[in-house]
Amino acid sequence: MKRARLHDQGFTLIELMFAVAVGALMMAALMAAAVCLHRSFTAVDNYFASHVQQVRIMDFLSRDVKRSYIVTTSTDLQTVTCIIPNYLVDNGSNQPTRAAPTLSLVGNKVVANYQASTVNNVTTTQGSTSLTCPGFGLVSSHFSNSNVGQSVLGTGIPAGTTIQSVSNCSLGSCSQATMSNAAGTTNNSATVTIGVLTNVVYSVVNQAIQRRENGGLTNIAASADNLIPVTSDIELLNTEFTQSTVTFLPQFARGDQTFFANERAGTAIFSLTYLRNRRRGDG
Amino acid sequence: MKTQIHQRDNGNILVCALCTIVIVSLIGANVLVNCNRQYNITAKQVKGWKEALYAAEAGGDAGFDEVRKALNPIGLPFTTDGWAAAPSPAPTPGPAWTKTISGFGQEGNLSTTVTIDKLTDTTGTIPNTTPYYRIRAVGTARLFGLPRVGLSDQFFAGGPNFVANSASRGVGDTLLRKIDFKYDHFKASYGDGDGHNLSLSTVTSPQITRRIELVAVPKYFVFGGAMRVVNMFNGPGNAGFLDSYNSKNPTNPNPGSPQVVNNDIPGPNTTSYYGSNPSNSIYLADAHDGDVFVGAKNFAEGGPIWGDVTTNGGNVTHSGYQISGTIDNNVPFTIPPLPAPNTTGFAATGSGGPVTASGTSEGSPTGFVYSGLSGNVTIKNGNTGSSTFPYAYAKIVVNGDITGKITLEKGVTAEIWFTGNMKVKAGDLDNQNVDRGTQTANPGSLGVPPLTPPTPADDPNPSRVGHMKFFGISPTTSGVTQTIEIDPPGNIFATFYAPSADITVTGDTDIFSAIVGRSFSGNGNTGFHYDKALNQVDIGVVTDYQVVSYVEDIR
Repeated sequence: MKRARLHDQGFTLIELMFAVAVGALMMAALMAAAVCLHRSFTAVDNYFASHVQQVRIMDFLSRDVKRSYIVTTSTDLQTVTCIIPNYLVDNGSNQPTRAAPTLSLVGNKVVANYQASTVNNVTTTQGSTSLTCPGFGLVSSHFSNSNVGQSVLGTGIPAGTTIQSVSNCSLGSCSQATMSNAAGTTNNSATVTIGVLTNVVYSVVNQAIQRRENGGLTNIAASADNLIPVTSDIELLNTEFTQSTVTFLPQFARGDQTFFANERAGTAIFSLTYLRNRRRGDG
Repeated sequence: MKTQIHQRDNGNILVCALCTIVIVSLIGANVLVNCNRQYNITAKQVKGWKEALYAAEAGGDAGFDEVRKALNPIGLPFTTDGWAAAPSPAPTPGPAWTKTISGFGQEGNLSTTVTIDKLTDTTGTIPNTTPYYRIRAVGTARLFGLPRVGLSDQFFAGGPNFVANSASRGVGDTLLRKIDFKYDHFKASYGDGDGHNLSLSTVTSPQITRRIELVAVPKYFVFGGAMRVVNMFNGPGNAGFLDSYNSKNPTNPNPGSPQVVNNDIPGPNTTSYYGSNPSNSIYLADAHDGDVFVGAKNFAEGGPIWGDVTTNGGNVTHSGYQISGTIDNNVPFTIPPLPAPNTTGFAATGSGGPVTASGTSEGSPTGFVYSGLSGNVTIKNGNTGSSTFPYAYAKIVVNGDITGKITLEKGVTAEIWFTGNMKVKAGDLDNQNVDRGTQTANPGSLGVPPLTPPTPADDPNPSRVGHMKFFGISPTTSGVTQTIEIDPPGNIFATFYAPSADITVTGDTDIFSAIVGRSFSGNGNTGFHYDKALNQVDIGVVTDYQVVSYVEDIR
């Protein structure tokens, strides 16, 4: 009997090359699958994370809009400025207390302020830093020395504007004030709010959304998620609201600009928030 | 020959490949599961965060509802329906009440605790005898799911406490949602919100709390606008207009004798009391508060209206009407009937003749009762000779109709209540007072001389119109409607609070007034001019409350 010695036989070169080729193909396929899976998992992870940040940004924005006195949006809809009552008194101890409300008249209507006051019948002039009012000693109709250095808020007055000085004073009631910035509009019967106010600005910087509160940066979302907000504020005669969308670009995307745009559009979430403290003058 | 095959030496590559696939799949599945879990957790946290606000706002509504229930500002009970005294420290002047509502929401995961603080205004915006209310509500939502931090980037950027620099307060979800996993961070850091009663309080399950504060102020003044009618408005006259002015304004061109200025009309049908208003900002600001409120859809406009207009179901638009202010067609309201006042101690008189008022405040007027008022009545000022307080107050109750002439001497403020109807000529309501025309009065007070000798211009009541106030007592017989008819000639300087009366004005009468009634109709040249100083006229009761401020404590 002749014993077959199969295990002692080697592959032929052709067999070996074929086996290597098949093996290489299998490994390549495996590696490709692994890479694709990794990318897919990363993209899914990124999608979820971006979506959560998207919701968080919207929640931040809605919360700030809801408690604002005034919300203004830049013409390119990429910057939103919220003027918010300063509810908390910073006493330097990291444990602020709550401010007590004070009442003022705006037209026939009573409003409540926190660390601020309201002045009625104010004249603003486009391009001028001067504010004038009747200066009556009556409530809500005059400036006072305590206004110097405080923020001033009103239609046509740039955000961040402060009172530099007051003049024409009689018994503590002043009829003129000078602002740090010129007014953008002329208004002969404006209502302004003067005092300590919180200024929150949302803006797009390098396709990341930043929130700044009185100039200080608040980290509300990661900077590399390619999130873009579009917000417009709508002022009606008897109410005011903002509508916002936030989108991001999923990492799944591969294609031309149109494809990217469609992918981004598919991630949009929308929010509509009403201002609870509408304050654009007395209507 | 038999060939032996060693099968155990084959198949390694396949096994390795399968193992690799399994391992990669497990990693992938783990990633997906983690993503899903985190997403699930975060979604629940977002839900809880939003629901906490809903709970807080529900508490705010409950508090506001309680404030509105008790329209008597003096004796708010807050003792039933779960209300109890709030823990100290109480606000100034206080007191404060609190109530907790729990067990609503999904599986009862929501609760709210609302605290109402009674406050007093010291700015003069509203009378300091009338309280207003601060409503603070805490909404709490129990979190479902695993107690994980979600996709928050990190806990604290610069410490656990609120600091002035917002960059140091934490980031991402930590800064926004502030989840209490084990301890109530607010009580531990801020106690009651003002640093009192700090405590490390364990929470029974992870939760989110949100805090809001509302300010509810009384609608104490019955004349917050030119006209408030329940059923129908048809006015002003086609050739008239409805606007406002301010009798306290020293630049008022006609403080002693208000009259319509028609000599400088800025445009067709846009004349106001101040004439060419747009050229003077103060006039303009005073001119466009002639607000009209209609509790039904029945609204018809003759001439232009310088003010806001509200209806309940109407179809009023800017394009179809001449209205300078805002329009809202979804504002329902009711006005309760006006009961007869207490006349104990009042002097009974006939149906006319002079009477002398010597009361020194609206709270202690000289009282008279008439069975009807068909003859001429003159209400004299019994304090004219006083060097310290030459003003007098009278309260007259007419148990019948008013058809005679009423003359009110300078310095007298009179309330005239009547149960029947009124039918007079405008000139028969002879109010001889003048507008004060100053922002700061110099009246002194009873027994305390003013800085300079008082004059009629120092009258504590700044409004000529506000001196003569008519109150239509609601008929007690079902189906009976009170009527007030005012005919030419003459102008009117008086207010009317008659919630059950149909009010009709005809001819070229100019009405310097404010009206609360069932309906109003004015034809022809009838013009209406609301004195903004009347927005501080009250009849001793709070008519309603309104929320004027909303803030959220984001700590």
